[in-house]
Amino acid sequence: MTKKEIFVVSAFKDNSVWRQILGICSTLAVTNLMLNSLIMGLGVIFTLALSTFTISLIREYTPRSVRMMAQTLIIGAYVIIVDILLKAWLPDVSKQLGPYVGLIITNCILMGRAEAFAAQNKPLDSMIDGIGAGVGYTLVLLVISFIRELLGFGTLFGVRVMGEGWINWSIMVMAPSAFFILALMIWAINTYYYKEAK
Amino acid sequence: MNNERIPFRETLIYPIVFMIILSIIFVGVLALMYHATKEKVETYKEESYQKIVLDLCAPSIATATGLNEADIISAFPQSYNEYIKQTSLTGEDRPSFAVSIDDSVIVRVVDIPGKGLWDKMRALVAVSPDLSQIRKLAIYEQMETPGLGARISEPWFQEQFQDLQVIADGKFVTLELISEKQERKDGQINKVTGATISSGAVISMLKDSLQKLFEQNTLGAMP
Repeated sequence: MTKKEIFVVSAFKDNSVWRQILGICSTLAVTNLMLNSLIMGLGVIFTLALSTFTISLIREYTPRSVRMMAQTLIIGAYVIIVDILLKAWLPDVSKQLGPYVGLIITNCILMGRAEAFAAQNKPLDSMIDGIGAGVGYTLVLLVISFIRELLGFGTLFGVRVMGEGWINWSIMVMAPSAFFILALMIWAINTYYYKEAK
Repeated sequence: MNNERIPFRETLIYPIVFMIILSIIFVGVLALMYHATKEKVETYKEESYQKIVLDLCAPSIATATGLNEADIISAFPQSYNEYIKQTSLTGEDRPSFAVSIDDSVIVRVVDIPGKGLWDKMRALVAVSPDLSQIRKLAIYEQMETPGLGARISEPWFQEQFQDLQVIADGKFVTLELISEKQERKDGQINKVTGATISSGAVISMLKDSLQKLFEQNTLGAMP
């Protein structure tokens, strides 16, 4: 596969959320505001890129029996590195992120890509696969949060777009709405995007 | 007898050695980065804290001195050092601050603890010298649910407590939580939609701490 194909497959064709149903917890939790979704997405892309690159780099030396332990250690370390760098150099962004940085460790897309791709492929290809998976995940978050923030708050990225008379849909602020939107999104993608494959 | 040597990478000890080396590398990098940035992070934390205190006191300083509120805030750290003095009240777990103009205290800032839905929270509250009225509130530490309970830090929620008389006849007044979009009357606070517990936790935090501080500190005993 070419590098472009790796990216496209990872981001769209085998999208972690709508195809592999991974990263659902955070998808439900952070999608009530677009800014939260974007920040979470960028954090995941950054961590995925670095962790898949490193895991792939040492794959020849990693014993099979402890590979998942090593992957967890590497992912955890990169998440903490991101946290330290943000606190020191971008403290305002770090404040905005709040608990999201820590939440990246619990995202199963990271372990999924490490185990499914980085452990068997070259470092650069793995990095592209990681970035692709992160972009695909961010795309899903942004689509869901677009609907939730617009209907739940009448705003987009905190900017008011609905008129004064708009009545917020309280259900959109709560997690159950993300279940419905995600389910509808998966249904629509399976019906239309994968139509030809079927 | 088979004397053939087993390659090191196939021995039982190899995974252990591998994990130890990997841990040393990553923990070492993290430790170095932490120590290299520690001072910078601490300085930023302290400055942020002082800026919140100044921001809380600025309206009262502006009223007392006739200066512009925005000018007072933008003149940090000079304005902070000029007007704000660290002090202490009986029953506090962290130092408070006071602003004195012409030897008379015009506003106090207390640092109070509370219990949120998931973890502890802390707020800095500018109060009148007799501790009976909230001038301004800033929840500066909380671990509530992002997008839901965490919205207690949004300005619209905190502004509801501005210039609010909370102690009347020696008791904390009753504050009723109403829905976010409902029109607010005296004694009512709009809660964050989907975060009744976090919204109520803020009121409980104010009630518990301010009531206690009010009871333990009389005007004569205040430093």
